[in-house]
Amino acid sequence: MTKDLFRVESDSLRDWGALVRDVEQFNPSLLSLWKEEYERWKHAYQRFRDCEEHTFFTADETGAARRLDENTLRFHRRAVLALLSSGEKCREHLNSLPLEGEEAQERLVFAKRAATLIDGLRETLEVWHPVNVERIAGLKVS
Amino acid sequence: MDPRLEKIFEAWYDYEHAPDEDAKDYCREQRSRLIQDAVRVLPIFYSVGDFLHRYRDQFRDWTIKRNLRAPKKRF
Repeated sequence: MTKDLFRVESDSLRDWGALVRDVEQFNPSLLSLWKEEYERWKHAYQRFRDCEEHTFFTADETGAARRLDENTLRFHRRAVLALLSSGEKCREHLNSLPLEGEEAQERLVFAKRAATLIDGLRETLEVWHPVNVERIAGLKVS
Repeated sequence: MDPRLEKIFEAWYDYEHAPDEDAKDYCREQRSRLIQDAVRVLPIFYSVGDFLHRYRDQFRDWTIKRNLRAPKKRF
């Protein structure tokens, strides 16, 4: 009887080999769980930047800048505030993890990366939605 | 356009379109350095934040034109 090499289920050793490889790679450390959380947050951040790029920094059909109406700016502000809030929580979560050794060192790297994006969002808020409008109005370029 | 402003806009654009967090951090430093050099010679004091706000609409127009040539992904 010839063995069908293309039928995976007929080779239990191969199945066990694949299972062991996957199981051994699975490392449920607190830091790796946090990284998944950060990646999800970053995905939301990237969606926001893509949307912002299209609305704020891409020409319309006539080649002119798109009009930024009140509703667009309101949604923009809400999105920035929501991302800032969730980003800060994500960073606090990272800082609260009881890590040691190499993972503690890695935490510093990720804390800096998260801070870079959070600072960028804060800047976006200040540039497009300043609190002190009167002072800013005096600085506007005509 | 003043070549100093053009240079700042280039650095600002690089910052907004850096491929990852580490590159973004580097580009932010470069942009801040250029802005600080520029505001030092201006007659009134601006912080980097004030400068960015003051020139945001010009930067927006400049970026739209820049994107027409060769758009980059924002980050």
